[in-house]
Amino acid sequence: MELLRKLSDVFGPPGAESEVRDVLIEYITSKMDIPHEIDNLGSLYFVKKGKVDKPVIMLDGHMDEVGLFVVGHTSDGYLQFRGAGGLDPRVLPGKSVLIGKERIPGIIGTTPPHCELRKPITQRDKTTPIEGHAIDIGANSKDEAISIAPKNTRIMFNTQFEDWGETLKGKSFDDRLGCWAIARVFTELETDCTLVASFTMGEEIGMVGARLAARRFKPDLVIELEGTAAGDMPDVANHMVCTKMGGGPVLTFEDRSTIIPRYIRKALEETADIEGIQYQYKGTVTGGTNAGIMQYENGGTKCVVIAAGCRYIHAPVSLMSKSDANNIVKLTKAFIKRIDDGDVVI
Amino acid sequence: MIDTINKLIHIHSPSGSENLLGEVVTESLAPKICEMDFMGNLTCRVEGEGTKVLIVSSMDEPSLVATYIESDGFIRFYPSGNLRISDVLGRQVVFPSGISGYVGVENNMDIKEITGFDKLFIDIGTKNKKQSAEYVDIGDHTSFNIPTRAEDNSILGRDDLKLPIAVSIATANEVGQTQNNLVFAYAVQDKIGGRGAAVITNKEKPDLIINLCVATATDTPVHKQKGSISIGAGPVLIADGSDIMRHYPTNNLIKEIASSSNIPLQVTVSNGLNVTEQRMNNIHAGIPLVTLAIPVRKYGKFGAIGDTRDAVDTSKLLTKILRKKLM
Repeated sequence: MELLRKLSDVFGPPGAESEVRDVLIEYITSKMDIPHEIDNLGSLYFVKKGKVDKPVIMLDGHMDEVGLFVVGHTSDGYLQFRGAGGLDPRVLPGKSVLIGKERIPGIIGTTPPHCELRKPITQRDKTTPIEGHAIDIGANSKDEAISIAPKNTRIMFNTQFEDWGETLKGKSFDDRLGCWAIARVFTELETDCTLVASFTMGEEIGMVGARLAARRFKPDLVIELEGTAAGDMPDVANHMVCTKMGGGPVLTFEDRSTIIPRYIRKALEETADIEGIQYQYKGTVTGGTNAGIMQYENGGTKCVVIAAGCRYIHAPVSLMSKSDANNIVKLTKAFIKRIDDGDVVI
Repeated sequence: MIDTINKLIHIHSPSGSENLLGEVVTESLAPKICEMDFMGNLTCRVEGEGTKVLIVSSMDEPSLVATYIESDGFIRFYPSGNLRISDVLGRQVVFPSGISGYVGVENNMDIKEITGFDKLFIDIGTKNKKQSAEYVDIGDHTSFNIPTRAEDNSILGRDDLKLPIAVSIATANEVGQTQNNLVFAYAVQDKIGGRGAAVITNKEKPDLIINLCVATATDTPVHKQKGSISIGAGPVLIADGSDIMRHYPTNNLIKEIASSSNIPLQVTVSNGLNVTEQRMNNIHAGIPLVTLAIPVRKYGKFGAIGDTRDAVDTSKLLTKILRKKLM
């Protein structure tokens, strides 16, 4: 899990994915002698050419993570910020953050309960919107804050990866888990299909890199590899549990951006059965992936999503299951092998 | 026209499961060839030398998607398309297997407590999960079971009454070879964001799009006095709107043809957001687009009443438009 540790710990809010890119280039080129491509937006690609009569399969995941960026400074030296990606303001107060690639430490300020008690009861439990928060970096003036963290500086959460055995703790498993799985499948799988490893930028701010990736390689099939939301919490009804951490690879039948072609999803389910891999459905029609953009390209692009349920995604810290991570790699390899062998026609 | 409408109007075509309707469309266009892509979009070509014109109509209806089956057989779902709780509660729905059921809620639940779709379920009368799973697969889309009737001047049914499809089929069968290169497209997944239409547009790269849809008629008792859009008063040209710019020269040509052919034409502007048209219009740096609609009175999300004469007149007008050299 050393690669996943590195990927989880590096700095990579939308538009600032270079550290993630560097880790991936280092890992893949250490395993095989292969050139990489970087497009004008910063997405990273590797291509392993197969036979001409075999399909082009793109393994896609995004490098960016939800983060924050500086939009202003208060007269007393606090940083004002906005979210880069879909952040839940409930999880922000009191969190430790790192600002810019220099990793300047800061804390998202919150008033202590002693002060809250002076507020009317009706206001105490209300969630403060993102724009109502500020980051304390220990600066004493606006000028000092500007010199340390000017506007548009990206910010990430200060979370270190930890291996707890079966459970892994870290940040940005959405979608460093996907990047990790792609890097493994790409470097480990022998196939006659052309494989494209696509590590896109800017998914969290509107799937910005997806269109270019699909247009560049015109894949016959895109396999999206994702860390998705798990909702297996004590107070969540069974039918509202999006996915369960440890419940096996998540097969999406539909989300807010795409309906997965049923025959491809069924072929994936069949593959999981053959391999003895327990799988689960994404039980809510929520969220979206790069597939939602890629499906429109090249006169229609077939996409499928394989994910692992991660608890607390889009928050400062996430948990995921090691066996889920390994099983999405195993399932993806087996599925591509069946396409290669002609057992599955896409 | 009435025969075509009668063939189409009874068919359930929830978003993502438009295949049954697609089969009837293909049969209705025979011997012309229909191509189908992996999503289920259909295209039928009447080839010519000139401007490539894409005539788009959508095949799907708003629906519910099954997401979870409870141990006692009740089915949980998510709305697919822009639906509210009040649109679906108590409605009869039909799954692709043919089994029907009702959208229900706990008996003791006050209406104010129904704060989200998670409180609702579909009851298909089964006793347990295994029994339900025989009829319903996770990911299946339901459509809504609403009585349909198509007579000479009156059509009653759900959603858009399949009128854009009927008009498109009639026109494709009537138009013959013209000075334009025509592609009649029947798009899937329109109600969940114009997805099929976007894929077709991306693939065909047309010079001009004619979007065939329905316009909400407002000739109900109060509005009727104000000369709003009426059923039985002819096709509707949605000449412009707050969402996208329509192509003025083609709009003007449509008005001229309607006038010279004595086809009644109602002209209006759109004040809503048409995601499908935006998606199509935005592809390849903007494709000129016009919107031709059939007036339909809408009741709630599903109930609709139209007039066969409007469909006939829309097809006549569209046929004459397509026979002109466009752009």
